[in-house]
Amino acid sequence: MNIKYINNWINLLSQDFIINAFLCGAIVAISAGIIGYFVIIRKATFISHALSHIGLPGATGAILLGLPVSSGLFLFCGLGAITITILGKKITDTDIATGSILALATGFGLLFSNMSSKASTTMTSILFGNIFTIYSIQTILFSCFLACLIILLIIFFRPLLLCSLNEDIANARGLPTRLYAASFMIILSIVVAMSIEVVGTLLLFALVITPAASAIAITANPIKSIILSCIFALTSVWLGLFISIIFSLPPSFTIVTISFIIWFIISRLKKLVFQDSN
Amino acid sequence: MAKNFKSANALELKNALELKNACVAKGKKTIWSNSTLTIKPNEITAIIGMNGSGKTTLLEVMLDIIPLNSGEIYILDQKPKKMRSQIGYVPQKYQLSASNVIRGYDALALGLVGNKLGISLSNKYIRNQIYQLADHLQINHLLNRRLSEMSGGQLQKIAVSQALINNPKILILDEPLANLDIQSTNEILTLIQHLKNHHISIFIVTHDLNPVIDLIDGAIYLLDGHAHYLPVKNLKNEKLLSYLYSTKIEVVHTKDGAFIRNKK
Ligand SMILES: Nc1ncnc2c1ncn2[C@@H]1O[C@H](COP(=O)(O)OP(=O)(O)OP(=O)(O)O)[C@@H](O)[C@H]1O
Ligand SMILES: [Mg+2]
Repeated sequence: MNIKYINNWINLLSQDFIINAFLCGAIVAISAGIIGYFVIIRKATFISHALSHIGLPGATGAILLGLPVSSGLFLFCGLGAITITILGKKITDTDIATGSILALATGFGLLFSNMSSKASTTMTSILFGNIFTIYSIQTILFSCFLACLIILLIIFFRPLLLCSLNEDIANARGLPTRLYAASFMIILSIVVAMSIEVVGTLLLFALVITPAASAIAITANPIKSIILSCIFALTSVWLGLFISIIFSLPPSFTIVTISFIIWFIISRLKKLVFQDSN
Repeated sequence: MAKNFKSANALELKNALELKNACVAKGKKTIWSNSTLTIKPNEITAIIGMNGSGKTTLLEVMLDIIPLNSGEIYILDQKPKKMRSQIGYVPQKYQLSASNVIRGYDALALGLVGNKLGISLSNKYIRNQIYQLADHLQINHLLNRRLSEMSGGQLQKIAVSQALINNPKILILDEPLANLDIQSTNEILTLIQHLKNHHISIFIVTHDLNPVIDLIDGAIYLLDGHAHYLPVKNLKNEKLLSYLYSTKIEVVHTKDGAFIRNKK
């Protein structure tokens, strides 16, 4: 093990690529915190997990064709989201469809990475993420996306919540539930692709799902849940980044660890409080 | 509740539900057809029939979730699409969707404003409406509890309150008594009884006629691929009920009311 303390970490913090990592990390964390809440209440955790794997062949395939990694990543996540929406009629019975697409996609990811040596080195950064390689232009695009997401949330929050929690009642009230489901999937696919750039395919769960799960464990007030979820995701990313810089550790590892620790402490505390009150 | 009072007179002219030669299909399969019936307003109507006979389908037609294949349907003399905001609906699978992510309060708030754009679930208007109804139905203690931490009966009360909070003129309950014990069943029935004096037409899908037989004014029964209606006095008919449930049934009259049972 070579965990070492970096003496001049203060100097490091003023480097452009580090500042960009903090900025972009914050934007992705808040997006993941918001969308993660809806992923949980729509019982779509498996779908979000699957989407992250579907991005893999997109990323490795893009390198094969000499295109930017992100373009392939976003394209495949988006196509995956559309396919899952079309194949599965209701949000609850999509698991088989999702799983089948997931296996196929991972297979192609492997094939593409075997076909080019450059692709197989990228494979690691897709699987585990690399927040320090994010371009500042991406940060700008991501922040535009987040702004749109927040505006959409403010406008459509109540109907989306009803559609997510009880499709039957939403239908009876005349809400276009399938349109909401499809739009949600598209937005989810974008957030997943963004999150892959930060923590990678394999660790995505910890950024998208874990903070929201921690928040819901604390409060059942929907708006408070979303805000807490964002705070937990942001804390994980910033604290994780900070520790990774100071001790020269892989950032994805520290981010995921903080996220896990928050969740672990909250679920323990909740058990204790619950036992006391009984 | 007071709001409904004003419209009471106007309501007297209307039918709560009217089917004219109605047929409905799902996919290629005709669920029921050639059904003509009228239900007067402010009555409690049971909807009965075997599993798969099309009870939920009838509700879906009333809610304009699926269209009729042919024929006509009117809710309070209007096309169903126009009446959506006047209908409170408790779906059959409400219990499945009850999770730990929201409290009773939020469920009621969604009942009130879930179909309206916006983000707030707790402005003054919403809070007033919720606390008023909660007082009225005595469910204050459930408002701060997560749905996942409620009993079947408590959850069903929240479900009914969620459907009632818009002051609907029609209340539709799909199997509200399924999975409830006797006490919870009685609580829900008391709630429904209590509504009877509030100018609201109630439709209850039920597979068991007994708990509601003294409450209802009549029943729509789905038999042989058609929907029929009978007032309750004609419904207590052993021949009909035996045919409906495909087993020998007798109607027993006691001083506490009537009930039906398998004939030995
Ligand atoms: N999408 C579909 N395509 C074809 N047939 C369908 C479809 N959905 C349901 N059905 C059929 O429609 C019929 C009526 O269903 P419905 O849910 O209305 O029955 P129900 O009377 O409510 O039954 P239960 O008592 O079990 O709730 C059933 O026989 C069912 O098999
Ligand atoms: Mg049914």
